[in-house]
Amino acid sequence: MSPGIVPPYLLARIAAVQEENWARAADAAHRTLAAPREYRPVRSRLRLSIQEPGTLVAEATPAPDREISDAKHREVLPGTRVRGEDDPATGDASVDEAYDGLGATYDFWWDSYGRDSIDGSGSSLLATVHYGRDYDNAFWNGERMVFGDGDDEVFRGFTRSLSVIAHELAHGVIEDEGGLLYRGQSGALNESIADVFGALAEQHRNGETVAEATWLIGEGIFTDAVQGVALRSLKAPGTAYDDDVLGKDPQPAHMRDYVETRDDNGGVHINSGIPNHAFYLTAKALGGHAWERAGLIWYRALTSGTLPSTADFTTFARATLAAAAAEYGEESEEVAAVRAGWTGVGVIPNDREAES
Amino acid sequence: MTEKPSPDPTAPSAAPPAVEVDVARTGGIAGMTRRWSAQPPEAEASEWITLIDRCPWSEAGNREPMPDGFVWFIRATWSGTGPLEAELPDDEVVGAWRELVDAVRDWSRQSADPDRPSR
Repeated sequence: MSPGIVPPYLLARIAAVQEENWARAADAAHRTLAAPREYRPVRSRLRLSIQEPGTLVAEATPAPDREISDAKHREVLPGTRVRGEDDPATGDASVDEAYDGLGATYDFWWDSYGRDSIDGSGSSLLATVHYGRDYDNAFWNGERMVFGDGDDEVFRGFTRSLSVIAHELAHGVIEDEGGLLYRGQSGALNESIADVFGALAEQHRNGETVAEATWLIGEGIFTDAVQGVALRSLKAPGTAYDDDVLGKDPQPAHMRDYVETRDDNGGVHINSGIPNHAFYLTAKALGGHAWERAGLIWYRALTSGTLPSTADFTTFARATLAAAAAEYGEESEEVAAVRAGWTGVGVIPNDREAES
Repeated sequence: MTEKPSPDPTAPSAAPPAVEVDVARTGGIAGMTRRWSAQPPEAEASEWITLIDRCPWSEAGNREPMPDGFVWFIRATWSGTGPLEAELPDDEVVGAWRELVDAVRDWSRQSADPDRPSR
């Protein structure tokens, strides 16, 4: 198949439709997706599933190309390559968690939005584990995800949380889509979008609905000594931890509580609570699987090609409204849900006339 | 194990510290800020000033930050000199900067109240 006019994300959505009267279209979309694309070399794999009792579905989809390296407790990148695609598990928990987490994140982007890896063209997924000694962080260095082991006092390693792995990979996607300046409101948006897709990747792997999901980022990375469940909560910003040493989760959920600070590039991990909660409110209003409608709207806004790298919350809110209108129609429940999400956190005024 | 003598908690505290170095590590995926401070006495001042002098203060902090990377703020003052300040991405905290930061963290740890939670 040559590059088609129907984009793969749309085919993937049609293929996922369960209604009986769409069965032919779904089948056709499956076959179109399964046809080989000649315009670039891809790793591909055959996926088999049983959708109805007795119906075996086979589809060829692109496959991830993962490479995990071990920094061996030094702060030098990339470290030694220890596991590549199709290699067996190493027995090192961090290596194997990173490998599996990148696979689950890859599947999330492909299944939900038809995006083939970070750049949409099958780029390799590179990660380094065991970075530094007692290193309390995970970050994206522009090329690869880097994971410390934690100090075993506060953090016990970062690869055990899929939302953390998917958060790092999402930074790569954001960068590929033109980037959001990592300071102030655009930086907090960068952080929030990474949290949104981090949470969605975890929900997608677990098959959770909006109501079933925890909406936490980094669940399970604190040691038992910390009074807290995770780094952040999209459902209830400011409630993820309250510890006598770490203090209380400082995230606001509304513009009236926006934090001005010099730390953390102007509080990018703090004020991200505001757009995070706007996404949660939107997803909650729509129900079902959050990655399907709310997530698609956020993805469209990010990938529209018109989002400036200096976008503030209001600019991004308008981009999501435009994306929802283009996808579902101006009078749709999706547009209403997005609008209610942003007014709920005080980013756009609670008056439809005032924002046009 | 360290070669530096630990600060004596029984020493008279009347004299102001000869040197003060403050370090803050902000950002990171957790967005948590941690702070350390060293206020060594006169007897250790020259050793600390040597550490401070070896750091390239004027070349610090011209790069775009890395998503989720730590950002360090380092500030040094000593008698008769205005404060020196630097903002550094994590991967620039190497060499002389790293020695200074490690010295401040060691000093801070040793002077901490042993009853205080250590996390």
